[in-house]
Amino acid sequence: MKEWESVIGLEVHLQLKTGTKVWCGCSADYDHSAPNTHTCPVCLGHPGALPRLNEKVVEYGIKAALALNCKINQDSGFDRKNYFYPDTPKNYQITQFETPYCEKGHLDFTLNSGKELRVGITRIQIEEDAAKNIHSSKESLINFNRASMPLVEIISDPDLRSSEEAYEYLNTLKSIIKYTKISDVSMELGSLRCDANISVMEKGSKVFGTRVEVKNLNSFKAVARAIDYEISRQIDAIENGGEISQETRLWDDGAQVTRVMRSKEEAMDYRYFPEPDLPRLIITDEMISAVEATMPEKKTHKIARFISDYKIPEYDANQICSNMEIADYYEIVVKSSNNPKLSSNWIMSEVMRALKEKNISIEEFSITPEHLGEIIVLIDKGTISNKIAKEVFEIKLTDLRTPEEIVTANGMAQLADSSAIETMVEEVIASNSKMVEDYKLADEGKKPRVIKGLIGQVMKLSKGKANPELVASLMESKLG
Amino acid sequence: MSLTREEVLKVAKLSRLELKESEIENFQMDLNNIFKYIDELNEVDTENVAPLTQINREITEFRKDIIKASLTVEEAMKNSPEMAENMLVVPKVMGEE
Repeated sequence: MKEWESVIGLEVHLQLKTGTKVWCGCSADYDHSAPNTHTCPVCLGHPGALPRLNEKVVEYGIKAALALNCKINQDSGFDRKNYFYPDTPKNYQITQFETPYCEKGHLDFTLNSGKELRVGITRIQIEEDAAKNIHSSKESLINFNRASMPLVEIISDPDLRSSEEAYEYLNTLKSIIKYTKISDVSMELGSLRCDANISVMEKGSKVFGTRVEVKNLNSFKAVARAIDYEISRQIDAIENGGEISQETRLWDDGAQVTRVMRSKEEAMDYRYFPEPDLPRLIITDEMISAVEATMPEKKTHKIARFISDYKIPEYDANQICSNMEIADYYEIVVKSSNNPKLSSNWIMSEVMRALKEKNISIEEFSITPEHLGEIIVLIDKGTISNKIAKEVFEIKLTDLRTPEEIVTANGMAQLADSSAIETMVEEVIASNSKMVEDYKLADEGKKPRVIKGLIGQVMKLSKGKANPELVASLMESKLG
Repeated sequence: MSLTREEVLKVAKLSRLELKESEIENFQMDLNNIFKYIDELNEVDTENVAPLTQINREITEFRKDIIKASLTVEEAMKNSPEMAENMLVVPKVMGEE
């Protein structure tokens, strides 16, 4: 039996979070607006109306380019992609065909197995979104609010080999772009859309098989499932003597299959040509360096900085920086706690556990980084033990008071008053004469184990609030 | 190069034009004359000349990202033959794009 290898490339469309559309001053914030309330002669494609490129789109485009390690083409242009469909009022989409503003980038990520992967970014192009069609049983209704919304299309090299790799690529891309704040990157809201190009070939072959484009992928999970489905469909077809035809297929999420949407014969002839209504897109060195200055720190740089500045282990730095928002949270915690290692411990254990349990992101987390820092300070000062701190943390999840207020209100502070502890130590010695006797008779090596039991008795008596180190030293001197 | 009758029909179809029999021939002739002229232009050696798609290559004037008032639904849909729920109604279309 032959062995097969699959080849996958992804095309991701991102809607940019600008104030206005790409060519006109219509507000881009149309999500909760009534249909057709965000239109003008430009985005309705009226004759004679001229597009003017939104400065913010170029700025955000440069951010995407830098975040994905791309080369910026400082002289690029726009082209018309011609096709008839009611969602495109001009009967063409303005896109970048001949020369995109950006190409030759890459995205690095690690698979669950620990395998590191670098996927090439072929190109990124600026283009406009189409209107939204709503299909009823008899007719189609068109809402032009989305027409000419700014998009960047990010096209990957055919470097992906499995659904898992595609899934991780998308997750990494989403988290990197999210951090630049240029897009909401939400598949649910439609601000991130993905098409997949999939082919199979014999393992080790140098020639790619015929590729099939799959559309209508509504979640990252759907992307992964559609890829798995296509791979096995294509292998089955070839092994049964069939051929793969170059076509566009739609993913049917209900039936979990892909279906032909457009065959090769029906393939569109887009007749691209340079857009005469827009000047060349000249991106100056000044524009690039202005954007560079506002770019968030790269993950690899951040990890290195955490290790050197905060002196935390590489493991901690990797964990904390696995999510850029958590890394930001960590830095505020450290500022407030002044204890980098204890801060990373708390975030990696308690905070991440709480986020997972509640299935929320760090931005939605109820404990502010300043308050977590305060809990850590209370531990460092000896006001509360680690165990009590966890209780404070649990209370704090649903309590708006400061950690200090919670400790005071619940009488959770450790007893640091040595005379009160001394009384308790004496009480325990008096009522545990057997253990005291054992301690006195025990070899030097066994003494620590016996004394631990006695200290435990004092801790129990103090309801966990006695400072354990103080108890230990008092106990030792009393028994001494 | 010259354009065949089939190619004329294909271009007409892409442009959603319905041509009468006599028009097909006329367009084929007109278009072929245009191609002849382009063939003449093609005789010029442009080996080391970059394509010029725009005269103004120096400055790109951007539009500031400032919101301007949009049209009202009534204004926007003024030319549409049929409306429902504030949306333009067209014959049912299926699939993507």
